[in-house]
Amino acid sequence: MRSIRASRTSHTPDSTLPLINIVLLLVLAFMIAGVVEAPLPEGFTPLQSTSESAVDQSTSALSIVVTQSGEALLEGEVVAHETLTALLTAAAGDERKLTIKADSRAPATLVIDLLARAEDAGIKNAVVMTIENDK
Amino acid sequence: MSMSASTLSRRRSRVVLSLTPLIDVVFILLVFFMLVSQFTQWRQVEMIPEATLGSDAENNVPKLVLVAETGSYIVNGETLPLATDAAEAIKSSLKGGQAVVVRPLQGTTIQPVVSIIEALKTADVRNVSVDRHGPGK
Repeated sequence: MRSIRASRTSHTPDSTLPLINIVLLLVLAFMIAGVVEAPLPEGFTPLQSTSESAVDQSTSALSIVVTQSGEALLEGEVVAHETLTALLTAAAGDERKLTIKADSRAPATLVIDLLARAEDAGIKNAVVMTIENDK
Repeated sequence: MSMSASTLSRRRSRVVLSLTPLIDVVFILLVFFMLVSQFTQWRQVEMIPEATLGSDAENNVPKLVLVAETGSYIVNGETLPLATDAAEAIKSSLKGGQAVVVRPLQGTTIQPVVSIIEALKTADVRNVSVDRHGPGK
């Protein structure tokens, strides 16, 4: 009885170790390959292009999302016009890059206006983010 | 005697390392990263507002490309449905050093604007900008 109990106690950690190893590897894979950021709004359709210019997402860029209705979001929260101006000015002061993730159905004039405001604020590097074309 | 046996068993139970909390934490981490990680391969397209064009562009009258609400392009009064055709039409009608201004009409979405900018870049047309001022503004 005693030997059975001893063998059970010694077997339990051994049998779970491979599982822990696999799960830890999965965690590492997600940490390395994935980018942790605020989720895009529901129904967001990214812009498509044939551009091959990859984006370095590790930089501390100011990332603004423009929704289909034309709202500007920062980390999932709607940003007011005045707040956005202040953010753009602050980003320009820190020499940060501006990345705009616009819904493909967003009004063109609003996105262009945002780019122009970034230029006016002094941001030298502002880009529109797209995904590879389906074709 | 019975006390010492109980102390011994308590000590033994302390020695055995329980992996259950570790597995719990690792699983929670895995679920967290699965939920928040994004694997989208983003690309970037540069769009320059018209105001930032250089002095060379100011000397010439820029070639205007209108992007209609339907997503078609109006170049030299001609309506072209495809961005590649529009880019070729623009390229063939450009005079040396002439700038190109892409202007979306009211109600136009951003996708056709990005498409024409990409098509112009592919057609090796330089000095392209986007106009933020719609007609009548």
